[in-house]
Amino acid sequence: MSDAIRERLAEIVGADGVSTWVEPGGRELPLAVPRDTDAATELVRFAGADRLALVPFGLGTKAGWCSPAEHADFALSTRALSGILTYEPGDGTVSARAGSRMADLAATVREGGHRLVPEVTRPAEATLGGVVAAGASGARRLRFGPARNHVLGVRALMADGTLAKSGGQLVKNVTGYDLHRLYCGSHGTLCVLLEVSLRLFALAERELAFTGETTELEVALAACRRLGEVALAPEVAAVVGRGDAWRVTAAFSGRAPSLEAHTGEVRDALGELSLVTELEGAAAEAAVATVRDAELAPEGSWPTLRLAATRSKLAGATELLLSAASELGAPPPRILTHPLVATLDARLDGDGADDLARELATVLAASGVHARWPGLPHDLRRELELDPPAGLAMMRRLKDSLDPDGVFARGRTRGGI
Amino acid sequence: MDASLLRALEAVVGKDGLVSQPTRLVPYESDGLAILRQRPDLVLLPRDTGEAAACYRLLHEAQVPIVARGAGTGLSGGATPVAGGVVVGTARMRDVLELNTEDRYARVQAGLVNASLSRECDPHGLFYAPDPSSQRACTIGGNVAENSGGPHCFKYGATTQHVLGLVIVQHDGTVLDLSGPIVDPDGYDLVGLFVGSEGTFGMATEVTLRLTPKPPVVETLLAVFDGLEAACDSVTEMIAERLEPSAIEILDQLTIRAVEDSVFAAGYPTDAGAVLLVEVEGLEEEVAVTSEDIRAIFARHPVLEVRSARDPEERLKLWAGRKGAFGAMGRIAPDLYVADACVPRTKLAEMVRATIEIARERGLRLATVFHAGDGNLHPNICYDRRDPDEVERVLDAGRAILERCVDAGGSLTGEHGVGIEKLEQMEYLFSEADLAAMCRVRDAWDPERRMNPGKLVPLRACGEIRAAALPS
Repeated sequence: MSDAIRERLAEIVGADGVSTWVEPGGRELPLAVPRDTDAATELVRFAGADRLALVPFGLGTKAGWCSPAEHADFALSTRALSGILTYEPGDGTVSARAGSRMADLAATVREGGHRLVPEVTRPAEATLGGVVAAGASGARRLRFGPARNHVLGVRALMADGTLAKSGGQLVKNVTGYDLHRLYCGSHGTLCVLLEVSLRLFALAERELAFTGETTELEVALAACRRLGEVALAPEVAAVVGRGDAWRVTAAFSGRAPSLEAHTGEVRDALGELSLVTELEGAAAEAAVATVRDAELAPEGSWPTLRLAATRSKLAGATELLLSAASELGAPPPRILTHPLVATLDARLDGDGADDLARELATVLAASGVHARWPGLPHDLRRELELDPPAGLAMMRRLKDSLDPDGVFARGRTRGGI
Repeated sequence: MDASLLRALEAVVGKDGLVSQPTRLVPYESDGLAILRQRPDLVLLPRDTGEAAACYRLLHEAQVPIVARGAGTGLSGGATPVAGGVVVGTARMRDVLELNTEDRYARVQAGLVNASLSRECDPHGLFYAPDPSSQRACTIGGNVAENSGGPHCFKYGATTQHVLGLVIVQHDGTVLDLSGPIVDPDGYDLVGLFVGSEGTFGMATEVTLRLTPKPPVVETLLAVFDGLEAACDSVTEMIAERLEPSAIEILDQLTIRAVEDSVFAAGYPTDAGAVLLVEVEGLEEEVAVTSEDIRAIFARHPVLEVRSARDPEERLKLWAGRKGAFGAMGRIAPDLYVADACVPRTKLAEMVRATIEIARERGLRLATVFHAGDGNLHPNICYDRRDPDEVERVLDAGRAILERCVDAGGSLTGEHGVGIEKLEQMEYLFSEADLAAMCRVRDAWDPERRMNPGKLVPLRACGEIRAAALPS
């Protein structure tokens, strides 16, 4: 079967466009890389006609955020469908093909005085379509909000092989349903994103970052809480570390006189940390990049816990996490948290990591915190994800309505969608 | 309507929650798009999610079409009843259910008036950012249905960016609880999809909203120009310079005069060709330098005067004039057709010229007031609905304006929604495949098409999809 599929894929995209993709989890899939929209359309129509299931993706930098598909016949990468379609500096918007690399886009719009958001890890590889499909919101989410807020419109390849747009390239627009919000974070289970339009933000006049260290996570979290109260609104207030080594990174940007006048309050907020360092310009950006690249990419080898809550509930959940690890004698988890956004990623590793994950799944479910276990094999994931997500029945109806034949492989997100 | 169904509905909402007398149904015949009217068979006013769900269940069993309604301030016919249908209103669902100042969110019933929420939060240094001009009357549920905007959405974003959760009564009366608040709910973004669905997916009965800290300093600038063009050019330059005020609004001469002759008089100079209202918020130093930059841009254009509101009272007065502009236009003509379209911000002046020309060609009076920073135009055509010829010319002008905006890379609506008004133009902006995707999503929520039928997505497009899905 696989050989026959490869042959057909080669007919559509050419022999040099066919290779093999190893999914997170180790399964090998025939991979087709279309060079134009027609070829991408033909691939989807082929899957539909032959009752095959395909996995769309970009370069796979966020592939581990999903579980492996229950069944998949081939993968379709949009990596070769790249390039900026329109960049309007005077309008503060950009439209680009899905395979465009985030670093390339960021460099282009920077020349026009704009910042590209979201700012995600591995920007030289991460594709625009992949970032939007994964709903990755990046390191500066505290200031700019989630990825879905920046997506102005998309052009998507639907399961029946038609091309359908949603939204446009306008900063304000309520014409028709916001299907682009539905697609954002849908991990390629509803369509293949081909083009995306984003709102841009002004590059700031001045950028500052502060880093500081502590041996106590609670001290780091308290510093972040104080940062939430200072006059300067932080763009980043993150904690990274494990055990007794924690680093706080805070970043600010804006008009120079404001930063000048209020940095004293920031230093005060970080007063309980040691080795507090103030960085400016490129060094400040590099500090934020360190947080960005600290992302705990789920790889399937160790359980990665992803928590989302409110600020107040997250604090309690963080305590539960550490005390459970301590009680079970597990190695302390590695943590990346943005306490003011109310998200936390924790990597559980070493002997007993699976037991710790099971224990945590139970206690967190009772605490009202939203816990996800991305990247795990289905069996373990099902064991850990105790409650179905709110609205699962509606999600299934949407999937069945937009992709009745399951052209886009099922089972990658929670609830088997 | 069937007597037993009426009795069952009355048992749910009580006598006060059921409106059936023809004279009391009159106010429900239209929303702000008064040009289109339809009397509903019945209006139901449930008090909470449970009552709303029970009503929806009964109406589902009887297969009665339902139109959800907030305050009826919408301007695209989104709340216009349908023949033989029932209106379910939120007028008795006005409670703040939870105000969490630590985590900065509020959970409210859908019928809460927009401005009431900011009043509730004010003592805590918080506010609810989306501020439609009708915010003293419009409801949160209506804002969710239309994804409403407002002047300050230039900085803060439209309603969708502020909704953290929803409780939704679905077509068959089942309740979908997505009340959150969670920053990244698992799976598809159902909340984001529901916002702006104009009542075609069901009815939001409870809404969880993000609250925003009040800015420490606010400066409101009023720039006076001798014409619209210079005002538009100033805005285009502000956007190109990547300045970030919180609101940028333009009013033309006819609007200024209407406002100044009304109870909303704001002190705008009546001999001005246009005024530009710009608000800058933030820390004191930031406001000072940004205002200075904006004044420098004004100076590069033929500005007649720039002044800053001296105190909060003057600021409120300047905004009362802007937000009362639609009401004030009642002095110009008995009726007002409020158009709503968006264009790229580089094309503001060009499109304003085009709208003036379209109105002039049809012998219509145009008063323009709009959210310039977002490229969201509101060309308002003054008319008298008793004159059928004028009504026809108004509708024709409305169509022409929208098509010109679409041709310029714009869209049909920036904040008022599609409703009935722009249904026809949906096929001008969207292809068959675009609309097919929307129809499929609508089918997932409301397979019987009883929720606000005939709105937002053209029936023709959905009909074709249904026909294609039938076995041959």
